[in-house]
Amino acid sequence: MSSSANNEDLSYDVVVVGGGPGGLIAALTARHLGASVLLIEQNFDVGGRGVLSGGGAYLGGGTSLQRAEGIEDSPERLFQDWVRADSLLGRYNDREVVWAYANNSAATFEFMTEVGNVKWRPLGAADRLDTVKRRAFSLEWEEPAGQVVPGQFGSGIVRPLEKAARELGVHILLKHRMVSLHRDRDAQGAKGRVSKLAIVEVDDYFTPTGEVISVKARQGVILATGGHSGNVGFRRMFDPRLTEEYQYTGQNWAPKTADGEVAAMAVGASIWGFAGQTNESDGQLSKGLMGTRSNYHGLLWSVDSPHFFREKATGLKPSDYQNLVLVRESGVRFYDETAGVRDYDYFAAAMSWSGDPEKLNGGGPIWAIFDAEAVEREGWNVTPPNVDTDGFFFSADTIEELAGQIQMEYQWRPMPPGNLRATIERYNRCVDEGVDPDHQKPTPRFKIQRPPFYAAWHTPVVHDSYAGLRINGSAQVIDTEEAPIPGLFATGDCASGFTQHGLGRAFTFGYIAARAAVSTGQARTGSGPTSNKDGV
Amino acid sequence: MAAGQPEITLAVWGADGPAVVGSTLSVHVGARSRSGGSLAGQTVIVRGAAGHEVGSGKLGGNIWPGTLALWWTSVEVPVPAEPGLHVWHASVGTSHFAFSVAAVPAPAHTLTVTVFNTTNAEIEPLPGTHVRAGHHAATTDESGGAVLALPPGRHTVEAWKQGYGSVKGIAVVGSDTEISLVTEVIADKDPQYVREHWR
Ligand SMILES: Cc1cc2nc3c(=O)[nH]c(=O)nc-3n(C[C@H](O)[C@H](O)[C@H](O)COP(=O)(O)OP(=O)(O)OC[C@H]3O[C@@H](n4cnc5c(N)ncnc54)[C@H](O)[C@@H]3O)c2cc1C
Repeated sequence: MSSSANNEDLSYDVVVVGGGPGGLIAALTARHLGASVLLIEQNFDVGGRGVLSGGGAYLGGGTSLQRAEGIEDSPERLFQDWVRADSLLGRYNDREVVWAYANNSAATFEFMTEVGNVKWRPLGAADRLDTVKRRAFSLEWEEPAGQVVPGQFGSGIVRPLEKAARELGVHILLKHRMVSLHRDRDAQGAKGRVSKLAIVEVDDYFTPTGEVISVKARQGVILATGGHSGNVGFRRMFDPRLTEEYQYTGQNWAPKTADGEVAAMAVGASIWGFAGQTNESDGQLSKGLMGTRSNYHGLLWSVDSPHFFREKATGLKPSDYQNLVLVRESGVRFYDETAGVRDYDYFAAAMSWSGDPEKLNGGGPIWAIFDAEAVEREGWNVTPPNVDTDGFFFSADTIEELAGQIQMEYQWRPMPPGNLRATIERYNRCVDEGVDPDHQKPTPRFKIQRPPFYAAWHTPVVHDSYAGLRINGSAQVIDTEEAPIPGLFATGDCASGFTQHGLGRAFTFGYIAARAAVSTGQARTGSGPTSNKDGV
Repeated sequence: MAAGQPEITLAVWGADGPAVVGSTLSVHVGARSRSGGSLAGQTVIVRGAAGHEVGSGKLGGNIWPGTLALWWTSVEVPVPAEPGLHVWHASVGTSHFAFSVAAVPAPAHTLTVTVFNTTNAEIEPLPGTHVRAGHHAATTDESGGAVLALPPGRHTVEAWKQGYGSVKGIAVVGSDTEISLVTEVIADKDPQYVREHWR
């Protein structure tokens, strides 16, 4: 089965929601243990953001790869590293969650290698909180068609898992979106298990098209929906500044709109790990690329990507911020443009009050302004499909005309042409002087002077989700009374308690969740492994 | 186009400093009308800070390559005898655009600045580094070198490249001189974010 379901009830031992790293390994693990498994994915392909990623997973505690490279590691050391009190990435972590991660990380790695056939590069450098080399990078997937963005190593970590899962008989239902969970109640009305979920078919733009279908999950539902970055109301619980203009990483390939969190909260789940989302550390935000909507700094889109019809432009990457100035929606500079990609003071300036009582939160669009000489120096091609001229890239003969051109959904008021002219006149004087008294840009170097002139979207972009569903060491979702919700599990960016970027925790808790779902499910029903025949 | 935009808007380019005191600067002035219609033959006036006219010209009959409707001309502007920053205004009708240039004494010697990247304890030439001594600026080539033509005297030299630390040195220029500067990759303000070029 690939992309259709009939309207009769479907029934499986384990139902996994989301086909990214967390979902794929959960599905493979549960099926490997003998459960019948359905994996539901809203995109027309699996992989999630994992397939777009750099493929470097924090998996250690004594893996075979570490041993082969002579690295000594242990679960204790892994745990100690990731609960370090002297780091923002360690101090707020839920130690029950990190303990479980530390004790299952190596087993997850071996399972991915042996059952999932993932092939690895030599270990990467120790980074973030790791005190020894742990980060395992996959090789990119050998078939270009499976890479989504050519050359991304992440393809080599998710495609082998997908292949193994399919070969073992996991059913994958594409272009279907989970919309709610059902929790049983007993005769007295007390809350019981999560036993069903509702899904709906969606079109190529994730819009529901069909009837709602009910799917039974006898042993458990595992949520791996990737986080909340794209749900404006949800993300503003953590940061009121993050209004609608802020786009998020991978939004056109693997939307993460807090579906897992919202559905689980509706059946009593607690959210958790707020400090991990608000501590201004690591990948909560990114400075961004230019000229395209979904503009994470680390990734230029490819015209060969199968979802390019949604992206519309590859984007432009500045190699040298001397080639441009960054202005707010008002046409005024606000910060030293050369700031790093994760500079939270830069983000604060970009998101500060615009001065308009009509828009109190969010800072509005940030525009990169540059000229024809900058285009030559950078070697940019400023025509589609490199840039999205439908609201994210503008050009004009003069600076004032350029300001007048900037009209799009998030530019809620016109940019005053005189402001932009004054900004450029003043900046060009800074270049003559060699100093920037306004924002201390080092050695201002190039004037913005030769027509035509350009304005490219360069608004910060939302990235990782760290706050999310509360889980325990068995990846069970916990309710607001601190009790596990029977039959409901979560992993990856929709789960929380662990401020660790990316793949490692998604894989580890996907592995843990599937094992817990199958063992508790089998214990409850007294059944052994089932075949997938009783699915569809 | 947005309200508040004048009927004619201007661009001025080619005012690349520094310029030697008393020399002549040739700048391009372009103008476009809101409608995109021809402005050929319209007068361009350049005025100094005190409002006095220092140069003029007439917009030609061709549009500047790459633009939709920018009529342009070149105007010769005399650079004053005093060193320092000078600001002018180009105008067409009531529209104007300010531009500037730094005036400097005639250079006497060259200063060759070579910048090295010492990240990871290596010593490698660093191309693409912007090097500056006051108003004088250049960018290093593949061998990490940049040449500045400077008046004699003591100069503070600053070097910066995207992703690297800003560094300074002092050069005493009495003849053609060479100095070298070293810099390293700097981590983002967020100490957890490891750049790909760290090993
Ligand atoms: C460009 C980029 C580079 C990265 N590089 C790295 C790296 O090198 N190392 C690292 O560790 N991490 C990296 N990451 C982060 C990493 O990719 C994510 O943390 C990881 O993919 C999270 O896995 P996940 O399974 O939780 O969610 P995702 O990978 O986001 O997958 C979630 C899936 O669920 C689907 N889904 C969501 N809601 C529903 C619903 N209601 N119904 C059905 N399906 C749904 C989505 O479409 C998606 O396919 C990178 C991310 C990006 C975007």
